[in-house]
Amino acid sequence: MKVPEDDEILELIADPSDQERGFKLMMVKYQKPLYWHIRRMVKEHEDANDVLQNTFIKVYKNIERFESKSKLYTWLYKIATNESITFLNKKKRIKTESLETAELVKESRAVDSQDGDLIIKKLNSAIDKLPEKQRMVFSMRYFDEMTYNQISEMLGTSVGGLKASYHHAVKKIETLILEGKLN
Amino acid sequence: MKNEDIKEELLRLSKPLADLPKVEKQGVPADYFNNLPSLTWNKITTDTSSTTHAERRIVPIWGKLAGVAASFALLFSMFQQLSLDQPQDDLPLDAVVEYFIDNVDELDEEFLFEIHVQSLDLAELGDDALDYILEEDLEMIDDQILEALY
Repeated sequence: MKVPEDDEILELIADPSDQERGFKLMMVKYQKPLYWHIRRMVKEHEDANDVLQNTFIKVYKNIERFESKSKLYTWLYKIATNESITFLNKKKRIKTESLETAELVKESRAVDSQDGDLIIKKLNSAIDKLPEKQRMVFSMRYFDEMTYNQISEMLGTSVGGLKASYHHAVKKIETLILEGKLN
Repeated sequence: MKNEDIKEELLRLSKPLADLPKVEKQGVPADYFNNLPSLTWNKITTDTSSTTHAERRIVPIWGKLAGVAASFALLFSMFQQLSLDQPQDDLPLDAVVEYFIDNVDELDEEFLFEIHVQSLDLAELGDDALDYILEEDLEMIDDQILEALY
């Protein structure tokens, strides 16, 4: 099936009789990249699912405010990022230490080093150890391969600041992986 | 092209990391993406007010206080540096610190941070201080300083 253009999707959404179809097409088109963007930040599938659904609900409620100055994709990412940050801030108030991270680290140690998965687990553990904003910037650059300008538009942070965050994150991950400081 | 730029940048920063395969090992329940659009649409049509409360962003007071405290700690280190270059009786450090403690409520957090950042070599900062800056006060730092650092 042909992937619809954003313009087509927005036209459908603007028409009350086609709104449901248009919105579902938008979700089908963008749910995977948005899901992984959110999942990298919140880690657990259940949390990512909640945040993603809230993201789409917010998109639905604010779709009339979307101006075609920016790309639909950028706007969606921005909302998903804000929803993830809101979720993490709420969670931070409840839980100060991430049990998931502790579990991951424990797990990565338990696996024998001959397993190629170990390095992936180490990478994930190292990413989990980054401060929130660095983790977000690192994921958007490393996994989503976004330009600094795109990230800047989404996070409202200067390009210089983003470069600093990314470079610092890379150095920290390298140190954590190479020097085995994952505890 | 964009992809190549990112790869080259990573290669410059960390060859070991650039050599790692980019694999995501997290699982997603079967049919999750097939069912999500319908589930979400049902939620949208039945629940119209569930997220309005989340739109308000509250800045906790402790965040501000932590900012002031961190700025103060950084300012303190600045004065420690300054004191090495000046005669001891010119501007006693204790008096300066006492003044700031007494008047910290009246001082502008951004001002404290700015004068600190302008007078310190960021490369000298430890990881924790740099993390704090990158997480909380990035916008207060001049882009050129950041570019020069990295």
